[in-house]
Amino acid sequence: MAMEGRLPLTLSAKAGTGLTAGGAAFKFVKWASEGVVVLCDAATDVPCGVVQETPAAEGDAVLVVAVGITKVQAAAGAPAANDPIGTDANGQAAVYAVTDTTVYSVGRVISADGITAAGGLITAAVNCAAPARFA
Amino acid sequence: MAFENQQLRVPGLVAGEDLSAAAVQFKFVYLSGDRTVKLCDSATIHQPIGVLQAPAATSALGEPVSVCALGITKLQADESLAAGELIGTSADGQAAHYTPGGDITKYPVGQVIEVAGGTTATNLITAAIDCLTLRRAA
Repeated sequence: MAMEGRLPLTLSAKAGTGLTAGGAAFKFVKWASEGVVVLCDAATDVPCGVVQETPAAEGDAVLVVAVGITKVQAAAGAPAANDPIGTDANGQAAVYAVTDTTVYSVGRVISADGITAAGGLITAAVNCAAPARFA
Repeated sequence: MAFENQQLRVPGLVAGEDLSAAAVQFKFVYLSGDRTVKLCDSATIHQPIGVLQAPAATSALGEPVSVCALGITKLQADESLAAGELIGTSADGQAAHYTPGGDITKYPVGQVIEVAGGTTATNLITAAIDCLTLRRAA
C-alpha cells in the first residue's frame, strides 16, 4: 500500500483552474501564477510538487509537497522501485530514461506495490525544489 | 571530524542482503525492490537512493535499515576528495568524484562539505546529498 513519510517541505497554495476535477489528489502540479497551482498538463512542465487533496472550489487552499516522501498517482505502465520519475501530460508520475533531455527529473519510486494501471497510488521520494532535466 | 545535520530518511526500508557488517555504514545503497536496499556495487548501473546510516542489526534479509536520502551525512570516501567536489557512488558504495561532461554515465548525487583529513578510501567525509532526483554528469 502506498505510504507517506516525513514531509520536510510543503507549500500552501490556491487551487487554480481545473484542479477541482475529480482525481486531482496526488498528482504533480505547477505554478500558474503567484500562489496559484494547476495540474501539470505536459510532460515538459516544471512541477512544483504533488498536491495532497482535491479542492472543492477554485481558489481553495491546497497543500503541496515540494520535497519529501509522498503518495503519487502512477502513469500507465509498470513502475518499479528505484525508477526515476517526472510528470506526464496528466500530472501522473511517469518513468523516464536518464538520457531524456526534455523532462524534469523530480523523484524516485520507493515502492510500486504492483501498480500497473494509470491512477494507482505508488510511494515516491520527490524533490521539486530545483528541478532540472534528466540530461 | 565528519558530522551530520538535518536529513530526510526514507521510512520502511529493509535490507535486501546482509548489511550487518560495520564496514557498510555510511556507504551508498540502491533500491533493489519495493522498499528494499542493497549496497551500490556499480558506479554506472546503480543509482543511489541514499547513504546507509548504520549496519543492520542482524545479517537476515528484511532487517530494517536507516537510509538518508537527502541532507547532510557522513560518507565513506573512495579517494582523495576536496570540498565542493561533486560526488556519486564508486563501484564499492563509497564517494567518488565525478566531473560533469566527463563522467556522463555516472550519477552525481552530492557535494563534499568537509573532508576533515579524510583523503584515503574508507575515511569519513561530510557531504550534502540529494538522491531523490537523478541526473547524469552529462
